[in-house]
Amino acid sequence: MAEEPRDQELVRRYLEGERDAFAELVRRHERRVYNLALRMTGREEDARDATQDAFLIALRKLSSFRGDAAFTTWMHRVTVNACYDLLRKRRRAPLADEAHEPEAGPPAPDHADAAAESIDVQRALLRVSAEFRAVLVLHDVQDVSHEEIAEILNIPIGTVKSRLHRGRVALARAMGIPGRERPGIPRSSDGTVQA
Amino acid sequence: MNDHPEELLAGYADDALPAEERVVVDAHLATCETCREELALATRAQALLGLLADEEVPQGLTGRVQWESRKRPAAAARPRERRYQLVGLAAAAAVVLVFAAVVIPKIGGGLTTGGARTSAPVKNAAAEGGGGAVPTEASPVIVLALQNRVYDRAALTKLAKDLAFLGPFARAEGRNADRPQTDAAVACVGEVLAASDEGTSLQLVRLIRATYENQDAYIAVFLSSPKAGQAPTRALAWAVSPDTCSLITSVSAPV
Repeated sequence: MAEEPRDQELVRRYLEGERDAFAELVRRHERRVYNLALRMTGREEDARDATQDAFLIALRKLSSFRGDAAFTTWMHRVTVNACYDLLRKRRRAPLADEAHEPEAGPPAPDHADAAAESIDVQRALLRVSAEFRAVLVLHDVQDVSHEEIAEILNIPIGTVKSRLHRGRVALARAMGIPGRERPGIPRSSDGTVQA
Repeated sequence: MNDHPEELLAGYADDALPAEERVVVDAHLATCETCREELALATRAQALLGLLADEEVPQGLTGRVQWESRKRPAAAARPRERRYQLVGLAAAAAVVLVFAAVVIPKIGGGLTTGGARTSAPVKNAAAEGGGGAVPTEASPVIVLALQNRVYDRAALTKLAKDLAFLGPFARAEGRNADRPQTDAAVACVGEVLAASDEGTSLQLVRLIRATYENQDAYIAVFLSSPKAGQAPTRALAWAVSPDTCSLITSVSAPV
């Protein structure tokens, strides 16, 4: 694909020894990578770690980037995987201050303030399982297409679409927006993590 | 899978379905209360997710990886590694020179302790290293970055660590102040530098105007070396009061 020839050109130049080329790639992509990590992990501290991990992994694996995908796609994949790794580690060894954070129960539904509401959305997002969350963040926050998400996550496009729908429903429920359970479908299928 | 058209409902909520698929969903919705409810939930969730705007990347976040990528170039470039370290030194020296050049006139030669020690020996390093290797490397110029950010001691320490990796190559991030504001900041931090008993060589890496705890502050990040021209061993961050040009706090972290 020739969608981002300039990124691929930078990859090539770095691999050929132009030492500043990778830093330029980092500068170009850090905003998207950091914000993806922020929405996936829900904490600035974790987003920082995941961002740094993602770029270090990308640096190490750069020679395995073949250019058959756009660099953005590849970088997103590396980032999502770095987030999964970090979330797995966090689950095993939660940060000390996590105990003090209020559990993200259903918040008051009628916030007038958009900033406060976006905090509620972020909290609810953390209650949607990571595989569904990734699709929600990529599509509804970062405007990535179904096709590209399928490529990033290495799943069929139909799965992207159904995860998107089920993830949205799970998010709305996690926010306490009223809605009836679907009869006959196990609760876990909507992507909500049960504490 | 089940008989609810889940794969189509997302596109339906986004109003992105082709007509023939929309007809299928409409027909299903007419008879399925569950999907009608889920569609309402999904539409609401989609709108709520739109509230999550991009946040600013923390200063210096990718400093370490940028530094790593320069330090460890691809295999083909390995023989040139040593030379690049020299260039780095020259660039570091250039920062100190710019800093000294701006500060010294303003405070009338009062930059004795830290300043004299930093600028004079490093000047030689600049003369040696700066003439050769890569003349296209632009000399870094001090820029005052304006941030809507509140720092505390922990955040300041983290900033120092992160920026240490960026070193003198630090690119100005965020909104830049205008020239008079920058000059005022440089003069103010220069006063603190002149008054300090910092016994090491300092290279300014970044100058930021933000908030430290509850007060307006200049935040200056330095690399500190035992002697000018030597590799830095510590990163130092100061919060300086713009009103009194005095030190609010100083933190340091090993590099």
